[in-house]
Amino acid sequence: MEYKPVIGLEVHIQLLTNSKLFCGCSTVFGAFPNSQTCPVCLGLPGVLPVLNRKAVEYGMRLALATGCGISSQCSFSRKNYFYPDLPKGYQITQYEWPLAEDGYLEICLETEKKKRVRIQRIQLEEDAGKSLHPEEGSDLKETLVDLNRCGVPLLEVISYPDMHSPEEARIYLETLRQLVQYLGICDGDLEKGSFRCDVNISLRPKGSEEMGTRTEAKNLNSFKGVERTLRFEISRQREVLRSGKKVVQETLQWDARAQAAFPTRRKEEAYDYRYFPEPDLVWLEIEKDWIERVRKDLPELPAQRRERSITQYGLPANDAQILTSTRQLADYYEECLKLYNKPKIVSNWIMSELLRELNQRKLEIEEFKLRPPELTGLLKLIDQGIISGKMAKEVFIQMAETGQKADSIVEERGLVQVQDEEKISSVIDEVLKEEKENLARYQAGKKGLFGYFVGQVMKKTGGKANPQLVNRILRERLG
Amino acid sequence: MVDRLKGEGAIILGKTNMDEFAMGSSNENSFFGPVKNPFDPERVPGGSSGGSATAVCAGEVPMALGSDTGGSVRLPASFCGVVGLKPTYGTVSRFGLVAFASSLDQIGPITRDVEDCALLLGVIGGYDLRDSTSIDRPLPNFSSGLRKGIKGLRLGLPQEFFPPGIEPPVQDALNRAIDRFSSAGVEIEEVSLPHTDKAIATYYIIADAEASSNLARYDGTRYGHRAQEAVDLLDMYDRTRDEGFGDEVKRRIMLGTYVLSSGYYDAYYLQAQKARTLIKRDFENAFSKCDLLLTPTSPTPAFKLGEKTDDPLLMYLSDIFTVTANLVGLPSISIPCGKTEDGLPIGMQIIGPPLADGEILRMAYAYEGLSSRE
Repeated sequence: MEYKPVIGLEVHIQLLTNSKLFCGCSTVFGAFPNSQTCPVCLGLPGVLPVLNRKAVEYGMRLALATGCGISSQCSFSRKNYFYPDLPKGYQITQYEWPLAEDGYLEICLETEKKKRVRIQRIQLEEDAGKSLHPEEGSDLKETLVDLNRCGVPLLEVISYPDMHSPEEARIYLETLRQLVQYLGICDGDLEKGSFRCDVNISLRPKGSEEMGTRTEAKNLNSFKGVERTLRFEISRQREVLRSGKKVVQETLQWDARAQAAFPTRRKEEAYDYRYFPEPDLVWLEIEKDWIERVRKDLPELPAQRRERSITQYGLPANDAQILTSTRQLADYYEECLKLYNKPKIVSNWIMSELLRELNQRKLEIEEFKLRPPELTGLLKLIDQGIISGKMAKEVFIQMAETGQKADSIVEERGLVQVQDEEKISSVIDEVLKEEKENLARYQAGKKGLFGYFVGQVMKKTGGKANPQLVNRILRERLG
Repeated sequence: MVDRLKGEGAIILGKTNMDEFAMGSSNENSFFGPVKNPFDPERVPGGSSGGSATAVCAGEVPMALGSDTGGSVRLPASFCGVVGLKPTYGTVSRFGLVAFASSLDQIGPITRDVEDCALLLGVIGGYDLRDSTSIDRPLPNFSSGLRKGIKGLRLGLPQEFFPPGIEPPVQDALNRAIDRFSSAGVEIEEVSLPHTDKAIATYYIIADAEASSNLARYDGTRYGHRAQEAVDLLDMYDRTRDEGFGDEVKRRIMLGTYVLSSGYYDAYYLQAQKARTLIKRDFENAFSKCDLLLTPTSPTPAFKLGEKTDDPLLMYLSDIFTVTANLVGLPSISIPCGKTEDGLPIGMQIIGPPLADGEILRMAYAYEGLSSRE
């Protein structure tokens, strides 16, 4: 029997607020363990939570960008469980009355087909701390707890099970990540754990609408990891079903050594979270005015910016897609255009030279030394005929390496193009003298040798001769 | 709270004995042993703030604080013959108060007379942005409001709070008080709060559910007692909490955990929330017919030490007249209204609609005047 995978995703998005969800502690990543804590996030006796307004607004931004309905009234609940990195013994989250419900994310599949993945709900909650467990080979003798992350605001975005392949799941995640970065509510950094994903996966016979038993994998922190885990789990479940057995509902964890996913042994699954309304917080009322203010301040979204790049700059769809892949890159591109208004030329340079450098150096665009004034300065040198396009590429690499400006590199390396017509003429004379035989063949009709002569001239000038001039003068000379 | 008091020049003498985590009606659940009633050392002072009430009664301090989740300020005030007030929920910040049941807890004054009570409430009350349930409104001047007079006010007597089982001296004391009010021009109305019989069950479900979660933080991880012989994490939690908590606290955590458990939540917790709404409506109806309510604070005067310790349910019934004010968030004051033949104090309770803290103080103050004149 053929089976169709059914995939739903739950994504935890760490919000870029300055302070935590219920206290004033900093959320900056990487601080000394337990230095960013206070009595509230440490869960000392007698403290109470006070909701962070900015976090609510960030949630509203995502809700608006995904067409979710924002609840006029929402509330918080307690999720009760014992764990050392959860000092209160419960997590404040949303349960019965989430911030927003029923929207969708439009994803662009590789076939260029568009697909809507419905979003079930968006809820606000606080993160737990981090437990550092002793691992093989480490000096750690006991589990240590860092509560800096405890209380950091998260948005949990729960999709409907609308995805049917690991690729769709990956594209959904990429699209959501791009969106939250554009919205300025999350840095989308998977390695730091600011964007984490739980997947639910089940199979059902093709043509059937009945849902199969699902399994879950938690806290996946790379898109590749999601795809890999899903691929593994789809084939595992398929085997189970084909052999006539039943899929067991369980939580899985990817084992890198075995390249396989195994059920987790944590007792967590046996937990009954005993959700109940958080009595320390009151109903959160969200008035229409507030929603409208947030809507007015929404930045341009990725899809809008992509469309605008096509219509305003006449870019091919592929260019637009790549240049708007992150807000930072799109900003970089548009800053370049302000200084040098040739959209396609700038696009070509960014897509080939710049992105290659970023890849090789493992840099984000905002960390790249070469800023728009420097890049466009280089492009202007080409236009002025001072250097050739080929030279410019070498200069570009050196600029990326050293942060020097284009003109100083050109000067230092003597890369200035030979523009002097007399000098080029004399080199052409030399070449034609040396190449008597070929000249005769050319004149006898072997016109293809023209390029060969150009090449010889370039060679003699060390590639510095202005190719347009060489072409023109040579053509005049040969009649 | 202590900062506010010190800011007004108060001198803090110390902490007083109480039931563990404020869970108890007799002050017999204390790690330090029970407090004894100053009128009869064989009897309880009422709980949970028995130490505070006793200290005020004995003249050790002019005023004290207690926290009232289901009667913990008013019941000991009544048993010790002093004044105890539970303010409207949200009047006094809970920031700094060790939480028992967050939706019910209020800190309240325990004083020798109503004037001191009004004074103290004026200091500890008021908006605090660190408590999201704190009410953002300017606090009335409780002290100057005391003398506004009570003539023409309507005082309701909820029939469910005067059941046949009530002890005769308590009933007699209340009757005398009603006569005094009546002769002072207060209109007396019979009213009904039909869901009163659900109050104790509703209260213990909600209070214990919240307590089970509020007390989860005492797990031995970061502070407080930690069991030493634990073999693993779960064992550490088990032993720590088993060793650290007293019997009554454990009983309530288990009860609270049970009523929130999947499969039981709808039958207990949700049901209790619905009952809470019905009880609230009862009061809204009653307050459409009268301004304030008058009831006994407790069906009995102070009972004997050990009398109810073997029967938790009987003990819970001591709170029968006080828990409703907490469930609905209403202001409520207990003031002395006479003594039994053995000299044990009897307390009566005045309950007001939300934010009528000033009005119940005024009524109580007027009563002090009426009773002293006789």
